[in-house]
Amino acid sequence: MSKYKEHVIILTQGREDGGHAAMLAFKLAVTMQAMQQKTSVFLTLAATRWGFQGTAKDLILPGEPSLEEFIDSFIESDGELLICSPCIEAYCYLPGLEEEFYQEKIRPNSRYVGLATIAEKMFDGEATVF
Amino acid sequence: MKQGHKHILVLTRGQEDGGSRATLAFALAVSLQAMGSEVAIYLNSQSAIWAFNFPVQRVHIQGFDPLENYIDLFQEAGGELFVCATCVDSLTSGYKENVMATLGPFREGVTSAGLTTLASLIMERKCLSF
Repeated sequence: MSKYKEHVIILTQGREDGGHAAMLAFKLAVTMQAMQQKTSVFLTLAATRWGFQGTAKDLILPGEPSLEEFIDSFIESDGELLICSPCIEAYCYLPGLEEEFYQEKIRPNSRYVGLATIAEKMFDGEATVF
Repeated sequence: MKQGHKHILVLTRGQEDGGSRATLAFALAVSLQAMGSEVAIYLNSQSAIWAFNFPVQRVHIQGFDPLENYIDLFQEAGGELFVCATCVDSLTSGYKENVMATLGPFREGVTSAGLTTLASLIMERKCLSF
């Protein structure tokens, strides 16, 4: 067990790197949850998009499940997704999406937060940035 | 307030992402300060550009305040801002005699420091790399 109460993974990358950083971040998050280390993933900047259902279905690396499946596994293991609230409009805007999308399609066990929440978690925990 | 905590944020990204990572790092630093943490930021590699006034003044990521606001707040709250000395040399050599016109003056309160300083900070504080 880690000496830290909680681990926060700060994910900043969206599709600009083909989803590699996101894949690595969620694989690490799932692994840490499996090791009984309470883990949260903070989705910020371009990574904000991963907070919504269906956004990662087509991201599949050779021989791996899709990113969507990794995110689902993380949530099913009681992992918490924190979505950067100021980032929504800047990074998640997709043509044709209505305002309701952000409420209806938000993943389970997810919530919108600001940086103060992350700062608070960093006092008792450890953080890693992807 | 949670007193007695110290953090060092190591920033490596410059203008290649439009200043997103820099904005996030300084915004988080200000949040940590507001909660009572003593925070230092070390500008490494491409992020040495943020030691100069003009590049900072051009960054305003949607959803956040302008980068300059965060840096001002950070410094006003006593945040220490270090920049990798050799990274600055490398950066400015690329601009030759146009340094002042392109980058503007060095920001007040920024200290040039080597990796020994960074190593010391990492040993005594919680570290987060952007």
